[in-house]
Amino acid sequence: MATKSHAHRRFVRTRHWVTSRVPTVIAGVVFLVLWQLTAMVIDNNRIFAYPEYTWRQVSERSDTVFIRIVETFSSIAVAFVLAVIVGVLLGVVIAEVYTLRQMAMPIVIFTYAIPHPILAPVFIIWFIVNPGAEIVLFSFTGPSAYLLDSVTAADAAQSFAIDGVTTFGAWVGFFPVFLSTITGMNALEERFEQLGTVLGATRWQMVRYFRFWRALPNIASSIKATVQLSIIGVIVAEFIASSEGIGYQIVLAWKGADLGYMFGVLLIIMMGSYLFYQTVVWLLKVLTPPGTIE
Amino acid sequence: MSNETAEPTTTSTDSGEEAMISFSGVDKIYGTDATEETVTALQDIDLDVDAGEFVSVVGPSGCGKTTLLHLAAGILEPTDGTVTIDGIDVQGAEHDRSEVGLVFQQPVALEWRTVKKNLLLPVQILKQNGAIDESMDYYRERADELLELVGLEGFEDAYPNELSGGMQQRVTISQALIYDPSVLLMDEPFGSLDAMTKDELNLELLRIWDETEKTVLFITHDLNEAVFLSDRVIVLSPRPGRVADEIEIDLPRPRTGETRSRDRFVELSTEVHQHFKHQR
Amino acid sequence: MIADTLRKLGDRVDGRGGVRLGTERAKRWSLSLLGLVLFLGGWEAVTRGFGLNPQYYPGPTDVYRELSRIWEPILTVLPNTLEAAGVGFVVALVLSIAVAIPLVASDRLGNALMPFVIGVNTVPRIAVTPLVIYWVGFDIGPFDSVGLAAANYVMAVWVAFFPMLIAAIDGFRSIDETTENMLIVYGARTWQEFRYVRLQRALPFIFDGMKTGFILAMIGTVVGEFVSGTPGIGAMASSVIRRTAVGRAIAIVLVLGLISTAVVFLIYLVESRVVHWRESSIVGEG
Repeated sequence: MATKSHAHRRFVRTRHWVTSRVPTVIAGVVFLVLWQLTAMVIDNNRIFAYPEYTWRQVSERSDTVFIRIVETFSSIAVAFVLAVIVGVLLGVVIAEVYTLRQMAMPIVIFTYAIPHPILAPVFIIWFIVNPGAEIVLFSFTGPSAYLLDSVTAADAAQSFAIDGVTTFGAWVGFFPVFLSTITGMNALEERFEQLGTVLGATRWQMVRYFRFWRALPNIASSIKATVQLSIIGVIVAEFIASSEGIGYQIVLAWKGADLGYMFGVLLIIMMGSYLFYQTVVWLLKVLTPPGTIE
Repeated sequence: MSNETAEPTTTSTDSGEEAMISFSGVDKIYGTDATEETVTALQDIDLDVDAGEFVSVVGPSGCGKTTLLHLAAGILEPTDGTVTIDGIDVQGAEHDRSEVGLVFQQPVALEWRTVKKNLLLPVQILKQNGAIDESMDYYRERADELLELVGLEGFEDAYPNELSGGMQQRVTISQALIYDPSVLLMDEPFGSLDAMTKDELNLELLRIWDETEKTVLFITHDLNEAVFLSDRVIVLSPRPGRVADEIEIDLPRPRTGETRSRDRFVELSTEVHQHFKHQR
Repeated sequence: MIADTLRKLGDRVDGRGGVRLGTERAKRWSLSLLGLVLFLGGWEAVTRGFGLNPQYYPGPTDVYRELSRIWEPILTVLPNTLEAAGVGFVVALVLSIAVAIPLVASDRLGNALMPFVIGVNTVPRIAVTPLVIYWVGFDIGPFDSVGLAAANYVMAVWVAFFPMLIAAIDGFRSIDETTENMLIVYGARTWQEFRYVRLQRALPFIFDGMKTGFILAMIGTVVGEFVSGTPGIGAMASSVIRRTAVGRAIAIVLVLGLISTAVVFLIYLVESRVVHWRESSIVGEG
């Protein structure tokens, strides 16, 4: 009886999972059909590329696209991790020291309101004029060298590095984590403060055993915003200021008036960002205690 | 489950036409959606409340008391059977919204409207939809009277956030009374209040009921409160909720604070309490 | 989330200090001022002390000097940028509310389109800038040059619209079960739900959306100008960057930051007037 109901529940859950995916699949199909129809109405690959033409333009340069995609998402990963680490650490310090918080807040609000893309070139310039500042964390041969015959190991040489692009991505993504750490740490309920006092906990112990954990749900939910912003930061930096990554390929396609390639690259960026975002959200759910993320 | 609870106990099913609120053969099953498991909240409910009667429904938590009330209010649709108010199906197009007032468990005052404007909210909606006829001025005056009746005179222009919990609950009660419905459905209206405020509002409720001669269906988990207020107490069994018993409360009216110390009150109260022990 | 932080900042003062509010506020203001002075002083000291090249690593005084030099040109191009960002912002605001209402009013419509809305909101929309410029840059008769500047308006709307739409949807949906039941009991129609409850419940969300929305509209416009080179602050920044004049770039950033902060503060002031039943905060949901 009990096992049967368990099996039934699993069945219900599986069916629910499948049915909940149906709209996404339908949306994908509808998107493709609409794209094809629009292209047929306009019928000019220089104004609106056909799906088939887009596919051809991208697959002609599949090796470049592959290498650049890996390059971009390595940068995004570094930017994201940097943003989270720096955001949490700075947040903890600022949350603990009242005076510092009061002193920093107006500057924080101001920097948050700046239209940040203008700063991207500045970050890049700093790393260009001061080459010693770039820190390579880890170099590797990209997967394209193994999967595509046309790509040599030298072409696919890539690295996780702290450079202009990644520091800018981290800068853009930093704010949500930073601010939510402060909010969460300060939201600790009075009774835990009192418990801490009764136990004679030091300030560090309060942070370690209470405040940080209180802040965790806030941090986790703000990380969703940080992922999005890190992606935006890296891609903006690439297409505005550097000649790296998939972001720069948009500019190349634009300058060459190659609409098929532009469509393809943009689609790849959109899908890649969406997948990266979903992966991080899934990882967060797995890694944090249950109930931290809704 | 014992036989006696399985058998529906009904009173005046034959005199169905006279009943103000009437449940006949009502089942409510939640989760009929294919993706969920189903829960039977109420089963075989036959229950009539006569015009002008004060009936309380008690039962263990999760027995479907609130479901019962929401069925009468037309918020939920019965899976089986019908619920009628004054002989009209509450799910039908004929159902007259202005006949039913619902007093909620929590205050429902909108925080951007003053107390008086909150009282007038149901009037605005019902009037726009053609459910009531009197002029707005008539209701403005009535709002003033009601505020006096529930002891909130002078708070017309206050905002809900400026009131205490007890005062907000008074606003909620007057909001249900403003369009003068003949039926008052009350969902643990005093459940979140402290004991003293609760006693005070109980007395006030009886006074209002006495003056306005409304039919009241009152949900509570406080057995003494049910005995103190009602003409009749309906006991629901644990899930699935069925009418397990009903107890006539023959205490004289008007009831006062002193009623609670009468022997008969203690007897009746014990009888209701006994029922709960028996069920376990 | 950012709103909460700032609100908490206020709460904390009363909770801990126990000092009278007036002196506390004065203390906070002076601390903020001190923070600013220390920040600028530290920055200047570092650039001077290490003898850094002011072309790449300008100090505050260098930035100030650059700012006074480019002040005149900034004033000439600023109206273009502000107009594109402002118009784009208003269009995005109106559109977001107009689209949010049917999405909330009809469950079916909402369920069908929500995944799409959320999906588009997670991707870097700014990346399509070259595509937009490419499209509007097509030779369409006499409107040739107007066409290119139109890209900046489109970018402002495109970048600001989705977060504002999601804010509005969240807002219109923020109705509790009890209130919903109350509306059912009164037999309220859908338009009455919106007129009497949902609109007011949505206002704080919409205002928060407006705060981020304006910053985003500025970003869209400025990047549009940066890439297309149509007269505006973005194009100015682009030419300054090409000469690697970091001091000037920072001066431009400063001006843009001040404008954004001022507009956000203005929205906050309007909000605290309109949404009088609730405490407002300066920076909305980030």
